[in-house]
Order: sequence, then structure tokens, then C-alpha cells
Amino acid sequence: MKAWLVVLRKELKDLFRDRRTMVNILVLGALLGPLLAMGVLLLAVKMVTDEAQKTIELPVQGAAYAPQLLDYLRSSKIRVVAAVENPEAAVRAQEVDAVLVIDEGFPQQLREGRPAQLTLMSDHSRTKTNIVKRRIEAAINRYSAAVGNLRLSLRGVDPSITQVMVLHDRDLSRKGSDAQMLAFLPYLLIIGIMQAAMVVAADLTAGERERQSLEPLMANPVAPEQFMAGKLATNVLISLAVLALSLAGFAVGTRVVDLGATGISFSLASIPVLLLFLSPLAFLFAALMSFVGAFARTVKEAQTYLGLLVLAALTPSMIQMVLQSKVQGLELLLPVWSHNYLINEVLRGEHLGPGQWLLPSAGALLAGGLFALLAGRLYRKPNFIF
Amino acid sequence: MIIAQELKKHFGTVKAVDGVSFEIADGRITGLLGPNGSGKTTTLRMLYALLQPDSGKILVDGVDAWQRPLQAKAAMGVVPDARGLYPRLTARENIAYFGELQGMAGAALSRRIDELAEELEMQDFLHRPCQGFSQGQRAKVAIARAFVGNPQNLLLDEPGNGLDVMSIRALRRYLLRQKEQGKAVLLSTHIMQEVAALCDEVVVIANGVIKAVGAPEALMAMAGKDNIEDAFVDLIGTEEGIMA
Repeated sequence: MKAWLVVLRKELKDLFRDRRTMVNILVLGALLGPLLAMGVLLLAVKMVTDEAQKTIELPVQGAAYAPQLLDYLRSSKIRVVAAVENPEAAVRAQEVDAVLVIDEGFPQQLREGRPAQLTLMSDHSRTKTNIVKRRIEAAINRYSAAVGNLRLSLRGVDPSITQVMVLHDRDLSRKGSDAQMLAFLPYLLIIGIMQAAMVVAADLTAGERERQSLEPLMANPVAPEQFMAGKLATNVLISLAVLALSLAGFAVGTRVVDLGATGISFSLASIPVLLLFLSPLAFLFAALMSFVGAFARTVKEAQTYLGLLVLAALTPSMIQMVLQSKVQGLELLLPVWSHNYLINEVLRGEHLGPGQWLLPSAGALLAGGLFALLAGRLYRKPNFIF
Repeated sequence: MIIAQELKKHFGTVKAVDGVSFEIADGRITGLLGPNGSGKTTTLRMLYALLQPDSGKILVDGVDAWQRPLQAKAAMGVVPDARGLYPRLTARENIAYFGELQGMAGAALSRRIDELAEELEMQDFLHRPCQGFSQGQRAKVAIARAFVGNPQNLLLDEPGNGLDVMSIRALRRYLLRQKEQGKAVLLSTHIMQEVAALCDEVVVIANGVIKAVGAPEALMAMAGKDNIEDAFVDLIGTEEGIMA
């Protein structure tokens, strides 16, 4: 048997017997992502549906000036309640979502056919109140349009004359999946692989030094690179296993948890695609972690270095989560950056083109190969062994 | 047989080993005797091809250790001062891992481990994970895994460190048997009893240079002392480091 295979087999056996490391890898790497994702999604979905369906309680200042309008609002599941003492303070303190203020001049303006003035106070920085605000706005606009149409009809004018254009809205996203909601899934997948790579790398290199087993190991008639390769292969395998588990977790999660009308579906077919697509990335992470981890003398020290590395490597994902920009051309060569974007594409049901397969993989393999080479050279340094 | 010729190694301005030459002959136990910091470990690390000498040459059964390290390493079994085992693997698995790395497999490897377990008296703990092993048990596993490939040359760095009397006696019996089988054994140590009990030849090293070479009796005669400890102190010219 090739030496690196001997190393791989031993490391796997060793790791699987280490309950703490395995729990660390499996719980943090594989399960935390899907659990977190499902939890957040569920909350978001619940909030959106709740706010869209529940009867809004709307305090109105000057309710007496617009009785018909308020009747109309009631039919749109908006319950008018008594005015509050200090509307601005009440909105700021989140005691109420919004307050409608009707001017004293409202009835007269309405009678004279001038635009009648209303004010809706709410806090735009809160997602929840935004939904409430939009529902109230829509109801008032509908009422306003209805009255306006009646005015035109009374004057013998076809109300449709005011409608100069009609804009049709067609959603072209596949299966109606909500990209906004999916934006953080790649982030969770990548953090899962990195977490696994980090724990394994810390144990495999720094752990060997900490236990003082490196010197006797290197005295064996085996090229140092073979040890590095065996440990790297162990890391890649474990990372991919973690990735497979977290993908399965997402697949189960999206089926078990009722995600309502968001239409988020996680196709089982995307699991093998993502596994294959992310393999080069797992290799890159494993090589990078092996290289950096080789500088640490103890497992704790390694975890400190590698923890920082995880943060650094996640930066592209975080930027993408905000930008959600298309990655194309030579930009596809950038690992993590392109992977993050393309994971989303796969999750949205898009098919990856040849360039989208080749360039990110080439980028990750190249960078990974470079780090593997550097790590291999490190295994020959006396400073590393002793 | 291992031949070291004019080995030199410096770390920064410190000359750790400064022109050391000696021979580890087959069928003999050679002691590398020196106080702490005398260059014993550095010399050994050069012998088993983990450290490149600044100058000089090492021949392991005629093979240049630095030019062809894999071939040279295959002819050596090494028990370094660092004797870390894999705590989650059993003693047997620890030994088997090194056996596979040394190119053994299957039934031959299994037989060889049984043989070593009997020779080193380790059947009681062979199937237990190494976590929590005593110093003596750890040392036995470290020796077994180093010699599992049955190499011609055995190198041990301070093998008696931390061992109780029983373990040391077992180790001595084992090394003497290896000598009878014609192996070349190198024992680096600072413990006089070990030298007196085992070594056919002693290389005394201090401050990176060889102070004397010869059989223990010859060294005592050379220094005009009637015990090896006094001879050693006399030969290296100081008591520094011996008590450590």
C-alpha cells in the first residue's frame, strides 16, 4: 500500500475514535448550519405570513374627520383603535406599529375635490412595521383610487383614461424561490466545510507535535510529502462528509419545516452537484489549513490561527450576501467568491455552464495545490519536526 | 553498521556538533555518552537523516544518509527522545502503523508484532489504547514500533528515561539479544549504569566534540579511575550537566 494511504487510513481511524473532535466536526460543521438556516427561515416566514394576515390595530388621530375611509380600512383587516396620547413616542417605543393622523381640514379638502391630507407615522427601519405600513398604504390607495374613479364617472369620463400605462410584473425566478432568503445558505455551507477542515488540520499537524509523535513518525522510511498528502486526504474526506451531511440536513430541513409561500425548495439533485462542485474548495481549505496549522506548536494555538483564517476566508461570502452581484468572466477563477455565487445559482435551480464548472474548480485547485506544495516543503524543515 | 565522518552542525553561533567521527559496528552496543547539551541528540538526528549536517558524511550500511534518506532510514530503527504514541490507538495499532509505513503488511506484520510483544513482555496491554500507559509501557511500544521492520541498525536516544528498574532490565535483556543477533546498536545516554551494563564501546562527547572512544574498561584505565562515572567526569573535564 502507498504510504499516504496508510497515513489516511490511520488518521481516519484515529479521528473517529476521538469523540470530542467528531462531535465538534459533526455538530458545529454539519448540523449547526441547517438548524440555524431552518430556524431563521422559519422565523422569517412566520413573521411575513403573520404580518400579512393578522388584523392590524391602527390608532387614528382625528378619526371623526374620515368615517367612510375608516369603514373601508376595517374591511381590509385594519382595526381602528383609539388615538394614542403621543403618537411619535408610541411609534418610537414600538408600542404601536403605525399611527394614522387625519388633518382637521380633511373633510373640507375632500368635499372641494382637493387632495385630502393624511399622515402615516411608522419606523421604516423595522422589517415588521414595514409590512404593516405597506398594507395600510395599499388600503388607503385603493380607497383613494375608488373615490377618484367615482368622481370621474360622475363627470362622464371613463376612469381608465387616468391609467396611461399598465405595467405587468412577471417573476422569472425558477420555482419562485426567494433569492433573498437563500443568500445565506452558501455562507453556511462554506463555514461548515471550513469548520471541519480547521478541526481536522489542528488535530493532524499541531496535535502530532503536541503529542511528540512527529519525530518518531518522520524517522520512518517515507518521504515527508507522503505524510502531508495522507493528512490532506483525510481532511478533504472529512470535509466532504461534513458537506454531504449538511446538504442532507438542508434537504430534510426544507421538507420537514413548512416554509409556506416562499417557495424555497432544495432539490435532492443539487446535493451531488454541490458535492462535486465544492470538492476543489474543500481541497483548497484543507491545504490552506494544513499549511497554516503546521506553524502552530499546540492544538490550541492552531485553533486560534485557523479561527482567524476562517473569518478571513468568509469575508467574500459576507460581501456577496450583501452585494448579490453576478460573478462572471475571470472573476470566476476566484475561489470562495465564485463558489458562493454559484452555490446560490444551483440552489435556485439554474444549471452551471462549462466555464462555471471549470474556472472556479481550476482556481481552487491551483491555490490548493500551491498551499499543499508549501505545506509539503514545511514537512522537510527541522523546525517543523522538532 | 553506521559510520559517521567529521559531522558538523551549528545553530546560529552555537556549534552543537563540531567534527564528530565514530563507528557503530555490527554485533556491538555502542554508547554515546555525554552530559545534557553535549550534542548527543543533534548527532542522532543527523544519523537518522532528519537533520542535514553542515558538513561531514553518514553511511548507513554503506548508504549515504542524506543523499538517499529513504534507503538509509529503512536500515534503521529509531527511538527518539520524543516518544509520543497515538493515545486513541491500541499498542498493537501503534506498532502496526509504523510497520505498514516500513513496508510490512498482513500476516507477516501480525506475526512480527506477536514476536515483539513476547520479547518485550507487552502481551498484557497490547490490545489496550495507549491513553494512560505507564512510562515503561510507553517505552516498550515506542521500541517495538521502531524495530518492527527488524532493521539492522538500532538507535535509541535516552531509552532509560523515566523507566523503573523492571522496565530497564527488560530493555537491557532485549538490547543484549539484539547484539547477539548481530545488530548494530547505538545507545545515547547520560546514565552510567546503562553504559557499564551494556556497552562494548563508549563514545564520550562533550560540547560537540568527542573526548574519548573505547571500551568502558579502557576508558577507566585511560582516566586512571576504577569506576566509569569518575572516568567520565575526568574525561569531559567537568562535572557540569552530569547531575541533571
